[in-house]
Amino acid sequence: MLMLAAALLLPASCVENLDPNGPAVPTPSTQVLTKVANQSLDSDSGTLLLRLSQAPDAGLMDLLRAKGAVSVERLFTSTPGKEELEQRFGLDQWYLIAFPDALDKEQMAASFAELDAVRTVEYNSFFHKTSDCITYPYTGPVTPATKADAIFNDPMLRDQWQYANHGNTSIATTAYAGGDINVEPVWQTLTTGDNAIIVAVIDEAVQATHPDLAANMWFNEKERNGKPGVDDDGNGYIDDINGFNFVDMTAEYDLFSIGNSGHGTHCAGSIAAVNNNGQGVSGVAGGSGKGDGVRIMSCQIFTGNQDEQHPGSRGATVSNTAKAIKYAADNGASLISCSYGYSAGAFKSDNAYMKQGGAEADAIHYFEACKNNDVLDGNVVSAFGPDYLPTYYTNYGPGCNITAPGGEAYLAPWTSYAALILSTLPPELNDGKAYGYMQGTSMACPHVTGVAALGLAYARKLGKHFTVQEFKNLLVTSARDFDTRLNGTKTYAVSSRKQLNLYEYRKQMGSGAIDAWLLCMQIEGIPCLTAKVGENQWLDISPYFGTASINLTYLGRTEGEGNNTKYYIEVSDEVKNALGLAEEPYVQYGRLWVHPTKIGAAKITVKAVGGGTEVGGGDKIGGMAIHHDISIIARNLKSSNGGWL
Amino acid sequence: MKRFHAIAAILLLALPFLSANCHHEPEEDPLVIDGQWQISHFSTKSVSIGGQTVDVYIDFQTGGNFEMYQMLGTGRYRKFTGTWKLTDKLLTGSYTGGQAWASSYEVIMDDSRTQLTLTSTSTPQEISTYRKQTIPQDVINNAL
Repeated sequence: MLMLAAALLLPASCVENLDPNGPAVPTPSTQVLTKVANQSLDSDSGTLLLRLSQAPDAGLMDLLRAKGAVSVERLFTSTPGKEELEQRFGLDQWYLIAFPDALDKEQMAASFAELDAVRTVEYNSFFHKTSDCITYPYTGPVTPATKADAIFNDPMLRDQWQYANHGNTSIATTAYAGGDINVEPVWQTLTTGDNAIIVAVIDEAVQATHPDLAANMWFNEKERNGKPGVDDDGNGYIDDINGFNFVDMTAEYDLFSIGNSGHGTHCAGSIAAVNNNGQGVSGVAGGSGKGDGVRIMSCQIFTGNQDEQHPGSRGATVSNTAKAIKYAADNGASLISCSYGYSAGAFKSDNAYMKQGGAEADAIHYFEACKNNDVLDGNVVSAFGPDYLPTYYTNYGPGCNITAPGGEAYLAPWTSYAALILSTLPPELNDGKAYGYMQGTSMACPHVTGVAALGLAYARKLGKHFTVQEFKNLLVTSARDFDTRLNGTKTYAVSSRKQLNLYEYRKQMGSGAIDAWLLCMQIEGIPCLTAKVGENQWLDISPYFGTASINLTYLGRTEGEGNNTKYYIEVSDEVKNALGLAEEPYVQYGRLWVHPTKIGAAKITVKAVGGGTEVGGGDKIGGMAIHHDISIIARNLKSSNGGWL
Repeated sequence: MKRFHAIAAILLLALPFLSANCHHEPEEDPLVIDGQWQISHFSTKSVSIGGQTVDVYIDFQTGGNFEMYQMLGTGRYRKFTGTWKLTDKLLTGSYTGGQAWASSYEVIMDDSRTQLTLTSTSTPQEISTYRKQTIPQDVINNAL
């Protein structure tokens, strides 16, 4: 069985310190405070999540009601056959408590926390989409492309610079050839997708009837062929044919109420719009037009835009998001794409967020444990534009893991929206057009998801198996150099011309720009590096760590400073003996230096930080720990191009 | 008639001696390495070095070009091309793009002409042995 890995993509803007101190809380005891997992900042009034040490019996129910609870319901729907797993990750212990909005939620949290049976109290925080959610209808030609024009006959593929950026200055005067996800060679020679791979888009609803998505939608066959109004598959959800609406807890999606933007449909199109169907756009893992695209499961957690521009509209809460994640896990999703973030409050990193033991974190851990649904948590995505530079809006800094195309509205020549990301949109929300442009890290995220899906499809094709950690390493290190572009300034214009100081983004945009080809090459396996016996020499480790290897921070004893830093690599006696290493190997300038003295082969484990200069942990903001076992063959001969002769 | 036969027999028997007396050794067939080969041994070891399998196919094409497909450990076969030249027993060559081979090689072919041994002239302990082998089509088709 293929061990599938998955990506839960939490854009780095999910850590926004809106109020580092949080609101004032009445002075509860320390014991009570330790039970509260997060802060009340930007959370729902009238609900709290409680982790209970026992199923609430009549006595506990009385206590909860006495403290103001008007309803107590189990948060997660139990799935037949998964009970043991649910218990292992504590999903059976979570309850959603409702109380009158008028009651102060901080006081309610403290009050509930006083109960012995309450182990954890979690404010029902809101998540936010990481896009301005403004759409721009596509007005270009819609005649099918000929084969001579493009890999697929989708007419708008030529306007999707994120797949093949040729430096077209009509898109942006600063357009940079090669500033894309390098997916075309993958499509041409390796894979275009696999309909066994299911990607859950946890977002606004995806328009399942969209002509460029319908053929790649996931279907719950038992429900599709079952009776309306009946839970035909017994999964606890009635009529969940393409997924579920976790806002209204119904199978009917809310696509068009005020504040909906088409955000979910746009993200879905980037992942798996149907390729080669002679219409619209192409998706990263949308197949070849033969029913072989990855499939989209729509898990709706947003209706409308929960932000200042759209007051009163509903947003995603921890509770409905956690349910959606569990649903995706239980119904076969291999990947989750989450183009949203959260207000961090006391959290200084996603890692800290995951460790605080909240309901969503437990759902993710549960997802990891489902063997077909292993998850890569916290892959944080930054955004670049067609100029292959940071976008004006992107998140950056420690904790960002990788960069992907997010589009940018404010680049010269300002004659079109072509510098944004073109994808699918509900015509009802987009001036009657089924395609349009958006921008944001929300748009960058599905490109990483799509590349991950493509990687899984290729791994499946090759019969390769990976653990979550292995696939995570592959994904984060399948990156092209980005930092060496970050010199000087970049001009953009919102209402007036502004400049980004690019140097500030150095080492702040993750391991580099995601590269689909590099991922597939890593999945195939990387050839051994050849070292010549008797010389201290450098070996190019970019096949392992991407061409961004020069910019990474490596783990190990250091010597020197700045760009000249040597990172010494710990090696076992076995490795030393196998190669007869005369010196301790080290990484400098993104190259591995070794000095073998005899013919042999060995694997040297090189550890690095995927995003930032130190690994995150606890409250520490930092990148992802990544490592690769680098295979080395030491010979007496070595040609300059790696050829055997 | 009997006499003629006796003379002829004597002459035939004498031919080898005449030849030896003139020091005319039979000429060796020219060394021909054209064709497709697969590595079978490396430096007198197997093609597995420390658990890493080395696989190399070389097609020495008539006319002086070669194609080489190599896989070191894992991954896809990598294709290399270039030119070669065999002078006496000395094999030299370069890669397309101008990179030199790591060494020139002394060539030894076994009597069956199915085994080729290349010994580095710069580092004689570097010995690779190849056997006559058609390069699989999937190796050619899928090489990078």
